[in-house]
Amino acid sequence: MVAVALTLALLLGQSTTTTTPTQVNNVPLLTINSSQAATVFGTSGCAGTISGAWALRYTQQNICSFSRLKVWTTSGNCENEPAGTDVTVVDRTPNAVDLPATGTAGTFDIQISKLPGFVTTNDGGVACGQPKTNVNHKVCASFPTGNLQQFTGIADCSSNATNWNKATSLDLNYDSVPPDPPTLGDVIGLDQKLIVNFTRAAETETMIAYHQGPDDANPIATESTSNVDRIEIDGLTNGVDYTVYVVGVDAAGNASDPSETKTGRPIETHGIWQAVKDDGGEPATGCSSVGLGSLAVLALGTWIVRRRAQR
Amino acid sequence: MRCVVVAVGLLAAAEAAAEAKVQKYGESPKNMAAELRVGAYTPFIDRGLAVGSSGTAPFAYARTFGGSSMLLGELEIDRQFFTAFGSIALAATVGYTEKYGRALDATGAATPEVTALQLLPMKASVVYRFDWLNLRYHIPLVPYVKGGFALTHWWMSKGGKTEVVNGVPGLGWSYGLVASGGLMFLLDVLDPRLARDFDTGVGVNHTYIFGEFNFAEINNFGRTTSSGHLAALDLSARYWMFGLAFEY
Repeated sequence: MVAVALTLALLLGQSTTTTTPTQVNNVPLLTINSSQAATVFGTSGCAGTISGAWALRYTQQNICSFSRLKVWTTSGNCENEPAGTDVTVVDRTPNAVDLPATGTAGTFDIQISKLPGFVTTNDGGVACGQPKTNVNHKVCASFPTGNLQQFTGIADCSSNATNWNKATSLDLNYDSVPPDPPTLGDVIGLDQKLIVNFTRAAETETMIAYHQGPDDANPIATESTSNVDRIEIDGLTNGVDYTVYVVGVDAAGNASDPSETKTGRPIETHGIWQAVKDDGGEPATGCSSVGLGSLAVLALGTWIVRRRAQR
Repeated sequence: MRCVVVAVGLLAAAEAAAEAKVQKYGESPKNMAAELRVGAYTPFIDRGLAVGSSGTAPFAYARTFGGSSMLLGELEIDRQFFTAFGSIALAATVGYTEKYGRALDATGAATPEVTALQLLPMKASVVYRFDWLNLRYHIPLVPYVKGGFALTHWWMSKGGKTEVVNGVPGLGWSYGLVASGGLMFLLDVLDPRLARDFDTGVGVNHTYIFGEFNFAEINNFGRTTSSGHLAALDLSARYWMFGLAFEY
């Protein structure tokens, strides 16, 4: 039996990292590690590529001629080997691996447009999954081994693929279902800004509030990734009516239909400072308003602290 | 005459007991004190606005905050330098308080926009605590007086940002004089053993609760502008504070 460890780092749109797993005694070990437990993408990601990395550790005497490392994608479950419709992205035999004893590593790329279920467009454009569908793909990895003899630790390769070391699969979720449109709540006018309240659909991750005033050629977006159901739109003109609506976007980048529209009008407000000025108050401001006495306060405080520290 | 004799006798007995106690349980050295106190503080901002104003009340503070108080918290550290007959100390104090309200629209109606006044008062003062009766006769009451200089940093915000009017941000400093008088009650008498452990363990000789009345004139000594308005945000006030004090 061959002791094997496999690490597969799967990163979407990020740099690839490779790590070599540690072989634990003679116990077969096959793992997939990734900084992302699941990768979600939508129609905007169809033209993209998912880059990954694998690493394999073994000893020559534990490898059989039929031992082949395979990494593939499937829309079903991860079996021992890829099925006919699955897409194999790595297929390596030990003999092809030129490291003599310890192991090797490599990388792979998965073109999203070639995932099972993605259709090729006739016009040569990017193939994508069906609109408004939610399909789960998996990245699978396996390595078949013979029987590991109990005392010698040498593999018995007389029977093909007695044991299959399979990595824990990684999820690739194709989501082209837009979230339900958010419900627009109150639009509150404050000083040169509007507060837009809304209720979002559960799967929404990003909210975008659009506003358009009489002088704006197009709606202007204000985006928020906060989980607070409120967006503040700044820099507006008091006394002007703005049309406002919101759109929700899910993790895959699918945008919902717009909410209903409402009108909001920023208004001039007087805070406490404006109220003081309205009443004719002329208090000195800034650092120039500090008298010499402040230095006495600071000096005394410093003296007390220093004396305390010396005790 | 008989009552006088009895009184003198009791006084002498108390003094002897006190001396015996001091000898039996030697205190750790002490020349510092710390106070934590809170109180309801209503600054006289509107009084200052009325100086040189032709307007009528309610002025800014009352309009915005309804005239209600701010909850002021302060920390004071004393350094005692005289302990022969009572104690005299130099004290440094820092505190913080804030008040939130609704900004008003042009008609004076409250809007959803939040406005706030925040204060960071600092004081340098001299403190006299008349603890001779406590030390001498174990009477657990210590009257005291304080007087000194106060400097308060203030800033005003609207919508979470410093409010700016005609390009002038609403932040500055006010200074003036403060005085206070109060009475401390020695908590040690409630559990002398715990008090001794507190001294032995962490060096706190005495623990008090106290109440004090504060008289603060913090208005840049009444300076006015050329137009006759007060040239300061008037943070004067008369208010009570209550707290906990540690002598160590």
